[in-house]
Amino acid sequence: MPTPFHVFLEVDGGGWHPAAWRRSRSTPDQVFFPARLREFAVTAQAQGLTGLTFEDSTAPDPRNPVGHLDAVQRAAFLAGTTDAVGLLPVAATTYSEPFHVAAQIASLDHSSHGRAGWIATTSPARAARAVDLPVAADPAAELADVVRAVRALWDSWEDDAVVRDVATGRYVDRDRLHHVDVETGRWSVKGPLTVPRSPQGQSVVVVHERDLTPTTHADVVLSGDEGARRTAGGPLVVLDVEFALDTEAHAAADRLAALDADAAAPASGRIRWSGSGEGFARYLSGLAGSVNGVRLHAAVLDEDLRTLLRTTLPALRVARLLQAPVAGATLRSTLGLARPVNQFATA
Amino acid sequence: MTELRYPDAVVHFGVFFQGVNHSTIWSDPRSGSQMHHSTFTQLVRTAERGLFDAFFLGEGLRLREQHGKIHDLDVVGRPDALTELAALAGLTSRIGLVATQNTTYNDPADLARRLASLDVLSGGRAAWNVVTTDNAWTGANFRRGGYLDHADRYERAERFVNLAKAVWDSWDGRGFTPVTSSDRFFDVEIEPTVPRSPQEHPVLFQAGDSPAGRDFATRTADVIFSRHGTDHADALEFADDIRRRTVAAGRPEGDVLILPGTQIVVADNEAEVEEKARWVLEQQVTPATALSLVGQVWGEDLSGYDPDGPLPAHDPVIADIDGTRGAHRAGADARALAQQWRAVAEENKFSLRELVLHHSSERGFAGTASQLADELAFWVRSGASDGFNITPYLVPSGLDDIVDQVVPALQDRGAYPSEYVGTTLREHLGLRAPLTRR
Repeated sequence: MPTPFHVFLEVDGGGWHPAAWRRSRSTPDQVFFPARLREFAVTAQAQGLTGLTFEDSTAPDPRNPVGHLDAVQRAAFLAGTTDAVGLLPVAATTYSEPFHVAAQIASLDHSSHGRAGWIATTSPARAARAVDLPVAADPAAELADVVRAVRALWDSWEDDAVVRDVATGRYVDRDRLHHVDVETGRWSVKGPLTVPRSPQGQSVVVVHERDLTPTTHADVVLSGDEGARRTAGGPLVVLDVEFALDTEAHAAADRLAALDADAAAPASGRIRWSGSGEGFARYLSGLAGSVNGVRLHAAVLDEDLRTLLRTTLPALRVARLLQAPVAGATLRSTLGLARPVNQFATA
Repeated sequence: MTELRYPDAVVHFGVFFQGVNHSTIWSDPRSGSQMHHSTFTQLVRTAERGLFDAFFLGEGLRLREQHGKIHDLDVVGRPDALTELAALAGLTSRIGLVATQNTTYNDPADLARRLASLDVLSGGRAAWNVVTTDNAWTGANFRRGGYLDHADRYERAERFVNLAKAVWDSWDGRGFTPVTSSDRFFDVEIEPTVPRSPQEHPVLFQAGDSPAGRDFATRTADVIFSRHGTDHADALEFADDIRRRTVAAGRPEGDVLILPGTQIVVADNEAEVEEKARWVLEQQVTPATALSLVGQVWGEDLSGYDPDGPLPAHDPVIADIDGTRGAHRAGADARALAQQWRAVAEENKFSLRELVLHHSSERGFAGTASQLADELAFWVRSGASDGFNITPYLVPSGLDDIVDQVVPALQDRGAYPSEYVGTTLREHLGLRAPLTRR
């Protein structure tokens, strides 16, 4: 019996290769066009993918020389026009306001009816200059603290805090709203959040393996290590895989060589795979037994997606390895994760 | 009668989804969820059908409290404005999307970027309603805490806005130039990543009403979201003051549009108008809300008082009104206000609740569609405002009769557009290029 697994697709910029935008059907600024984002969402839903991820960097990024729109904004833009695919933006934790991040992701969860994930990442030291904050001594520890604060804020409203009790005139039951009083020594958050608890209770928290500390509370871990294995009771393991596929006109190796001649690709810490679409399906099938999912990064989205859709994904479907999310399902239920009990809930 | 200074002017409409205040009647069976996405979707689509220029969302960065307890009588909780507007951008094609965002507890690099992202995603329909906060009570939710003096908040806001404009201007069509600033508010180096939208900058709204707020708006903003949306003489005086300050700031007289917040009650005949307006008022100011509003001035919990009895006989225990309720009157002299209220109540023989109803009754306009169209057109053509930012008292159906009845009546009078003139908010409002791009 095959073990179905989850396929996520990363849709930032022109693709993972820094020269990708030169191959895009779009001109550089059209890479940002909302129509393009919509197309990815329609494709992902039609293909039964579990989620779209939106990479981000508040500073220029050698892997995406064209620039980025804010990832939470991109994800939210697709929330109302999709109904099955998960939407997982990056929001960095090192210099952000935990209160704002908590509100943004909770709002995304509301507008998508429970399909929000949050890829919590650290920021490079240079990002501190943009916000006039001291360079964080330990970004991974900061990330763990921000995740803790955000999770507390997401629970600061009990699920049934809005009572709309016409008889007593009370809109909310203030006893079911909680100050979170998170204190890290560097900053504190009082709470409650200004956004009521969202459909998933807690949106799915995704953290890169490299950013983890023993105290980081992640639901999903992104790994670039081919030897990574899922463990019972631990966070789900999703492998980050960069791929380049043979197209009708060119072999993957030739395409990569031509891209590299335009701009050298920096090391990414992700698995990199190139070859035929069918071969890629066989490679991914081999991973299905050991990890919970893969996140696919196309070298050139406009070129590699076509081959992926034509050959790789159909082969995975035939092998019954793709489990399409059901319309209206939450991302948590699609991933087989329980809806968390509220940490402040009174029994 | 005041002359019609602008006889061909048209009325601009925005809708203000306030979210949190006692103007939203949540207790009515027709009132929908304040959080469900369908509520926002229905309201924004109605507004777009009615050719409204803009859909506004408010903001609050801490849940309101009164006497140390979370205030529980009004709507509590709302989505993050920019995130919700991005979702609405995907479902609409013309209407402007205005996010109220604070300059005190945001960073220019982050907020400029998120606003620019909404602007690109919406095809040039984003706007920013610039607000400030100065209290440590709100600061308790943020890294920097309550760090800003009241006197500094507009200075920080202006530097913040100018820095955001520099970030938006940093794209030359091919790449970005880093933006640096080195002053007592912002010592930063920002590397922008978001290109320009079709309207070049998000449109800037400003809502402060103090002399400093008015000067800030006329130096930097495109639109003023004013509180002068009830009394024509008051609105005209405000508008003339804004026009004077706009010219003093070196801009043409009509360069800053004025959209007062207001409420509109529509009914079929005069008897129904009066009945409906009274119903709206009494639903908004329940006995408990009346006690709460008076308790805010007196600085104590008056929930044990009789709303149909007199105002408290003693003076307020505090001198200044606490801002934790997020009230317009925050910082006002409580004792002077109490004295004034007692005088009005005595003169009119008002109970506590009757006094609050009396003060709340002048919220905006009530009339038949035809009366309203005449009155709203008169406001705009006499120069008292450029339109209105309507706060619906019911959500999400509160715009239906305005769009179905008042808009056509205005169109019949040639005082409302029959289609969107362009695709960007800047075009709908008839605004010129952004200030830094002229």
